[in-house]
Amino acid sequence: MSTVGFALKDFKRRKAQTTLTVIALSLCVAATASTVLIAESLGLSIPLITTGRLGSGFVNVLSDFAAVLIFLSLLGAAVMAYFFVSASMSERTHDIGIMKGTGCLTDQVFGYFATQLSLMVLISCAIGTVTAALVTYAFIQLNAASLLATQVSIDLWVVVIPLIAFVASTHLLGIMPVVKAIQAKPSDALSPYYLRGVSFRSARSVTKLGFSLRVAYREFMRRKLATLSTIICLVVVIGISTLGVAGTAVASQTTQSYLRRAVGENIVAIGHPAILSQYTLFLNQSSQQEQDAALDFLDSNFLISDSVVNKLSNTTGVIKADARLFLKTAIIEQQAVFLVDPLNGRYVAIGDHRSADAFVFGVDPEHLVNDWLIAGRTLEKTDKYSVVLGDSLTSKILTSAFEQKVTVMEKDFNVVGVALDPLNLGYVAYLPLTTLRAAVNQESTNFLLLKVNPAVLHQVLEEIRMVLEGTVLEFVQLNPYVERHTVFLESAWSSFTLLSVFFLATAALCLFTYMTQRVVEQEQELGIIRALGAKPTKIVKIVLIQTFLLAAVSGAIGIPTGLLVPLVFLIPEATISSISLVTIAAWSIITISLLSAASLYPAVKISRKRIATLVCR
Amino acid sequence: MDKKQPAILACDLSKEYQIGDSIIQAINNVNLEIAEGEFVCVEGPSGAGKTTVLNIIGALEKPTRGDIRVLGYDLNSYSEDFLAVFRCVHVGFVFQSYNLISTLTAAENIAFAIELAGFSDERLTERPKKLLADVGLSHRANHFPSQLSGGEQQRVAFARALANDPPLLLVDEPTANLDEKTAVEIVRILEKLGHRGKTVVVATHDEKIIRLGDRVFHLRDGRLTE
Repeated sequence: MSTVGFALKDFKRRKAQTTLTVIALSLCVAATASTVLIAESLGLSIPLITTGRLGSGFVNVLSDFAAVLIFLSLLGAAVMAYFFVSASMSERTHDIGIMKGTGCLTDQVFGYFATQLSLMVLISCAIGTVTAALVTYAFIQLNAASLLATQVSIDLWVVVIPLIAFVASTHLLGIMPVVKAIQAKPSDALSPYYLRGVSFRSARSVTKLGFSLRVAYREFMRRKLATLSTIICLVVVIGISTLGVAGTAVASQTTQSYLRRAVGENIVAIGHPAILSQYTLFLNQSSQQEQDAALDFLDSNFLISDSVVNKLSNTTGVIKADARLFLKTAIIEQQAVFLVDPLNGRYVAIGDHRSADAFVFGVDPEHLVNDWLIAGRTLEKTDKYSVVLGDSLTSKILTSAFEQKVTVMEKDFNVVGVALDPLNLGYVAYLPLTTLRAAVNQESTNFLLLKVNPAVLHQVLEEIRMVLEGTVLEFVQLNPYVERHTVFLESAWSSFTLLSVFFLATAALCLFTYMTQRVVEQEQELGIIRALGAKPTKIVKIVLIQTFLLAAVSGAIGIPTGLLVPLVFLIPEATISSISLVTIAAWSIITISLLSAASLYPAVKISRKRIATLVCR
Repeated sequence: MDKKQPAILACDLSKEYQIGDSIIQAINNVNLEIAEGEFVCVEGPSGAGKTTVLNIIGALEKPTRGDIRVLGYDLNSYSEDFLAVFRCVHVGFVFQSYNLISTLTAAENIAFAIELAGFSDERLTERPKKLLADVGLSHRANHFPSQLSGGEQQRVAFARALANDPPLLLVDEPTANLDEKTAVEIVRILEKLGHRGKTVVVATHDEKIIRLGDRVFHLRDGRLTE
């Protein structure tokens, strides 16, 4: 029989298990592919996978998160393949014994089962990709308004590399149990007592536990290998799901807090309409906004007189007035040269002479209305030739930000801080106001930010309107722009929770498969327990306890791991709000409960079987 | 022998199993009356239906047709939950293949049966010790079934069957899987039980056990004769 013919016949014979394996692997593919596709539609840059249009700035956090999720989901898929193939091979041990016993060479047996694995992986790739495309399409349609998505069509080419990685990793791990299984001697494989990975040594006495727990504990100990591989599988999957749900909740709250800190809350911006439109336009996340190339930021019509600034600063309800000089210019990298070997006079140069256009703000450090998430420090009163750069600008033109200088308006500046700033996608630079004024020979400012008391907002806005009457200046509240950006972030983060749903379903399938096998193996003993006088509910309880133990142990490792990854590696200065805490708690309960319930079907099924049939197995 | 109150009363019992499209008749119109305290043997070749008769008496399964009354309970008219309690309190079962729970020690196998009956902690520790002593296995209390020989496992199975001191003991082929010497030990245990006033039904074709019986029933092709 051909290897493909054998594989198809075997699939047909073991419909339920084949279906479960294909569903689980398809969910893994769908999770990975939909993350890539949604990230692409959001314009996120996934390293090595897409050529992102936004590429950096705030989106960096999202991109890193998506990249880690994609990597982990590929890992999860490989672990899942190992688990399901292990499960299916343990059921096929007897067949292997017969095949080898009738003279089939080991290589041939390997060929049959390796072909099965390949078929299952390829079918899963097809189903998973179609599912991912549908999910992405639905996601884009549902979130079109809030996402400001730059791309509404789905480009399936971006999933090619993840799919290749999926096929490679699932084959790599999935083939291991096949290799192990085919090594069994025909006599062993045909023995009804042969179960790979089962230890017949007695487990440690645990007399303090109730009998149901004792049976469950010792059952797991006896099948250490299978239990361990199930726990590893569940830990990986639960970890990824937690990262997707709880990690995303924390990340969403945190990035919203970055945004509010960077822009400021309850801020009113004042300036010429042309300046205001540039500022508000580039607060938005969309990458397709065009800068007004002809705009001369230092035009005398755009300037705000000191008297207007003073009047507005002294208005009741204004907490802080942040007068800025706003312009657009090139920021040029300076190469840094270090002496690395004094004896031989050897020097090393860092960086080049790269440059990028950026929005440049001259600011008074004492009157800043915002407070960025910053690496390094913000500007201080005594700073003269210091600069704070946006993170995108930094990553674009500098190799080692704090060891290099930049040139702005022909003056050299030390980089003292790198800030996460949504404005102009992070292509911004903040200099001391006095220095910038001197550089451009301009005594006034052209942009004013007022931090106002929200309780008296209407009165303050009325006062501002009166002060600006008769001038070309206008004002705009920034809160709606912050909110709009917040909605974008929420939508973007919510896309990652989809992945969790896929993986939680996979975890449930994994546990269902494991417990179904365990229940089948324990059928006789559960029958004896019933014959001794246990009610059917007691049997359900015993099986559920076993599942709960597995789910709880896996959850106890997987949930904290899934939380620690984003908190420690992906999200600096994470904000854990009460919403995040509630999400984490709810997620933990849902995960453990759902997984525990995964064995309800085999448990109820076994409790309804005829006792005589079970006992006489 | 004095006529005693019937512990088991079976009228026209039949049991059929459906396997695929075919129906297997395990027992056919079996009538049986066993008095309290009687020691009865059911003899017959393999596949005659001995285990099915014991399973029906022990409330492990219900007959397809006919009435079965055990210790005054009409087993056909009760729910699965009630029958579970009935088995736990009134019936001690010794299976042909020992059927100990492999993940529990010898003492724990006995204690588990006691726990199912809802007894307290003290009884869970003391009673298994006593029962194991009765079958000569005190020194094997903390051994798992895989560490016991076939005969030892069978003796633990007897001890477990007596865990809740049931009035009815059903024993299925107790010596079938044992060597001669071990089989003799099991016969001695059965002999002791016969003197304790319990109703004992043994399915067997072991002559030594059949000799212990007050009465012997013969089961051939699903039909029972005395």
